[in-house]
Amino acid sequence: MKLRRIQGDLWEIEREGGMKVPGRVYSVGPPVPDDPALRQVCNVAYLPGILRFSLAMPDIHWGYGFPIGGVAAVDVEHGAISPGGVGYDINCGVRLISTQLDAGAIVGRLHTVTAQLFRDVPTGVGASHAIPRLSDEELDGVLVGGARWAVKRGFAVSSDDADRCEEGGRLAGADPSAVSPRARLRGADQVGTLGSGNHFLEVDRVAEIHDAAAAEVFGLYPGRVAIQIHSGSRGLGYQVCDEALATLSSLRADFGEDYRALPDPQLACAPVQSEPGRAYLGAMQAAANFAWANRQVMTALAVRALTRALGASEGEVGACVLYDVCHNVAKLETHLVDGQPRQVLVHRKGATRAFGPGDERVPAPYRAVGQPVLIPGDMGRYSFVLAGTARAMEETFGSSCHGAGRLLSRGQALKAARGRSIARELSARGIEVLSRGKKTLGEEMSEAYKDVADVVGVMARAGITRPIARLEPMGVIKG
Amino acid sequence: MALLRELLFRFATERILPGACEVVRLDAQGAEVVVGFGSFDLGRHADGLDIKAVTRHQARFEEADGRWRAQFVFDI
Repeated sequence: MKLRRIQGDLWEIEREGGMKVPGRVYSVGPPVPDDPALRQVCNVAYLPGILRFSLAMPDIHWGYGFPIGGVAAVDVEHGAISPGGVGYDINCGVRLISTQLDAGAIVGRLHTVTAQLFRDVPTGVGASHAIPRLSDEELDGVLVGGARWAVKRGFAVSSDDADRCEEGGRLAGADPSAVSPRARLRGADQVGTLGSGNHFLEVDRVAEIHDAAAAEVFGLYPGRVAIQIHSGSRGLGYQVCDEALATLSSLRADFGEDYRALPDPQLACAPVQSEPGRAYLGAMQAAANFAWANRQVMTALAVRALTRALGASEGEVGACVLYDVCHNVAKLETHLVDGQPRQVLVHRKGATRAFGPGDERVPAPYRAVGQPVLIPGDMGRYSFVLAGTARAMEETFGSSCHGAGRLLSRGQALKAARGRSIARELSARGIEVLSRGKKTLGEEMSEAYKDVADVVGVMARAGITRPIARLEPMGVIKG
Repeated sequence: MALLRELLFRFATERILPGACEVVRLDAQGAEVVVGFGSFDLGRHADGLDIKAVTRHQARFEEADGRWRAQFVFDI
């Protein structure tokens, strides 16, 4: 593998073998050539129809087939769609809700607030029944309507919640009939549930403002409380991905030499315009909508819980959906390629859309500033709110990083946490944390993650996203 | 792999966990296994791993010296 520095933190992997394009890696420190995630960047470059570069964001780490932190745009007419380029948790993403509450005023009631959230938002292994099990007809509504379905059902803090989400909280083209009965069964009782692993619900404090004018446009003020939700499409999305991988793995040889030559079976893919390719796209879009409905229902549950715990009125809480971003998705988008607007399919796996100022796809209230980009860190340090830039549109198909990335495996983290009470350590620092599983806190402790500030710093220096605000956790709910 | 996928699906949809199994048949074509299930109990099992998918990554099922070995990577 031949690596050369383009400039600053941006490195290029030269084409070799069957790579159709070079790799481009934004890296925290010089990239290490034997990093298996970099090999995956090269493997992705074999994808039929890939355009310009196989991209890696600075939080890149090894994933199944595609690296997490990978971005690949393909030609819609001649390119391939890959379930591995989206990931198992389709539309895993982050939502941020601003409030008018002063953080200082809730410090004394933090335990009450966190406990109420923990009671009202189902979390952990097998979490279900936040709302009654959905009928097949209702599930069709979720799969087509996304966040808009939930708003219509009354799960909203404002009627325009969905307008403040990426894609308006629903992907057009979703095909509920492409979602199998098994996937439907897995999802029917999981709308409005957080799940486990690295998913979380946080009560945050706006700790630092980097750009006061932009922060004001986003509704973020120093010392105010915000709620952050990280979750995805739960079992339904996993089942859609799993079934698509099985189908496409068995069909790989039928699509021609380019598909047979793919270096990793987990890169299984199909031409976007083939029947299996269209079927996966329709099912994946439906699963993405399920995830938006999931986060929308949790938004309503969380704001109600906060209001109840504080004995406050809705007006006093003043909750407002700031934005909602996908981390795992493939989307049909128009981008300038060789100076010409062209429809492409952008795979973002562990990467966030980051459209710049003036783009019509950014909600009108934020259009002058650029799209809000929400980057969670870990439960003991901080998260960031960034804004997309024109350079992101030029260099990364409007994409940025998505989080800190793990430093320790779950096993290593548990070993490091042995004999310690992570909850007590966090409590001593003023962070109230509740989790369903006892091991979760060890697996998810701060030291298990890289410093997200380093990741965000690379993107800022490269001009891909610019920092607007920094959030610090006060109360954390884990699975 | 199909067996593991089925066990995961049963847990996800029926909240039941495999507690015992008897291998009835095992050969290159696959396995036939009788599985005994128990109910998921949040009090007892909340600390267990939440397996979300049985991946194809480095999946192996092979015979050597009259013994079968299987390797699977779970997404958790």
